[in-house]
Amino acid sequence: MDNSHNGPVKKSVFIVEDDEEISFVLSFMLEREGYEVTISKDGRDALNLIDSAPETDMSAHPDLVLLDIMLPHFDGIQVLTYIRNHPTWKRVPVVMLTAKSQAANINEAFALGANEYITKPFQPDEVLVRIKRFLN
Amino acid sequence: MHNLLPVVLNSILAATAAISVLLVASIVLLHLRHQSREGRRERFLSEWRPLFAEYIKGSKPALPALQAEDVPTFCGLLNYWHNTMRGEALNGIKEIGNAVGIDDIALNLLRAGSLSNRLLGVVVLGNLQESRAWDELTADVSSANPIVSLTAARAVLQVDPSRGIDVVLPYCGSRSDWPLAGVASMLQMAGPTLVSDPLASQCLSSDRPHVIRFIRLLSCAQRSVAEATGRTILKTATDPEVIAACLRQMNDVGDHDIICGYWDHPEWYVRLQAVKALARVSRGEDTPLFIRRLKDESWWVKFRAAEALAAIPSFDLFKWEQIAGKFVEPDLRRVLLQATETRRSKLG
Repeated sequence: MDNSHNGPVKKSVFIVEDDEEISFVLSFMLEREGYEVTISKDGRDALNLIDSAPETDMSAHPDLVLLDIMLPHFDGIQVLTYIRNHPTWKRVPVVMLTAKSQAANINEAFALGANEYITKPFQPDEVLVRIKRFLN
Repeated sequence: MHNLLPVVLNSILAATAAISVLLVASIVLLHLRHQSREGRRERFLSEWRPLFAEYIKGSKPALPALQAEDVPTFCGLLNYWHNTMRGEALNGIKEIGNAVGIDDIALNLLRAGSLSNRLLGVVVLGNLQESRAWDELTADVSSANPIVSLTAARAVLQVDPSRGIDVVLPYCGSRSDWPLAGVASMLQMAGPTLVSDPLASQCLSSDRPHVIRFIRLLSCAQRSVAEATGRTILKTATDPEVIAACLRQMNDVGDHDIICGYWDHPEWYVRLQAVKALARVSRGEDTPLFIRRLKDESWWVKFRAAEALAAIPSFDLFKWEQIAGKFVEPDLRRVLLQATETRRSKLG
């Protein structure tokens, strides 16, 4: 996640998704486009990763978070709340991933500071277009 | 006799030891077999996932031959990715399936497989929209096994939605062993444009008990069609279950008076649906009606009336208690207070 290396800086995306197939497709697409991808499989793992970033290093965060709503341990809404209260991550764009049946949660996510949402089943190209709006 | 005892004991011990060894060996063998299968599955997935991803991106890399042992894993992957994605990506999934000949394999599974393989074949053929399977799939819709029949019904709607709706819809009413949620999900997949008119026709022409299932499925139709059908049926309906099913469909403020017509119905579940329907369409002038239902003999009707009252922005429990000069039942008061607080906190 630390972008402070020399040479061309790769934009980074943090995917929090418990569905292995979905996280595979998304990371495959994003890596193909030249992004650096990190994956967490549940909310607790995501919070641990967020906490592992040094709070004094303002660049120690990804350029975008793709966050599923239904997650084990801590759900996407809780992770989003944590991100929005984190000193270095709070301004990172967050795109929520949600099943159609959980569309009601989207209002709550927007109220808590989500920037965009994508419903599953999804169209991979459409996901890329929406993500790139925040990365370019 | 005394000499025989040690021999018998030794024999029992030997037999027990042999059985134990056999059991342990079986467990170890099963474990090794499971590990070997899992390892093969993992290797297959790590090889094929990128290939699936390439196909949905529109490129078509060379594919390795699909081994017979890997067919179930391939089908599982294809079905899972199909359910996860939509739009253009689905074409890529069909293309990779056709490229390895999974359409022919699935047809064979459908015709000669075990129950689990047959189900796998049905799902794959549906996802591939394989028209060669039409006759077998439509025949399976009438299977006595509810899982086979419902899975086949879904596949029929995927292969040819326009023809399929006429095949599948009559069963949606008659097959009480099809879970209503599963049927609704299947009809939602077909889409309200396709489903609305045939479903309305079934509602208007069917008798009990099928008509109740059809009316409940109206939530899959276009809202205007669902409401119009509900209104038409209510004009002549006397069966309380039919009335309750129709009230579930009422979402239009124009139906206010129709709903209120059932406010004092003798059956509690009709009153319950009337309260819920009025809560959906009420503009806030119905406080006295909901208050009346707080004295209902059915706890559920009282509970829903309390919820409905708490959702009315102008309703103030404390003011109402002063005016009425009495308290509502303590448990309902808790419901009202909790719901009022939830509403206030949502409003910020």
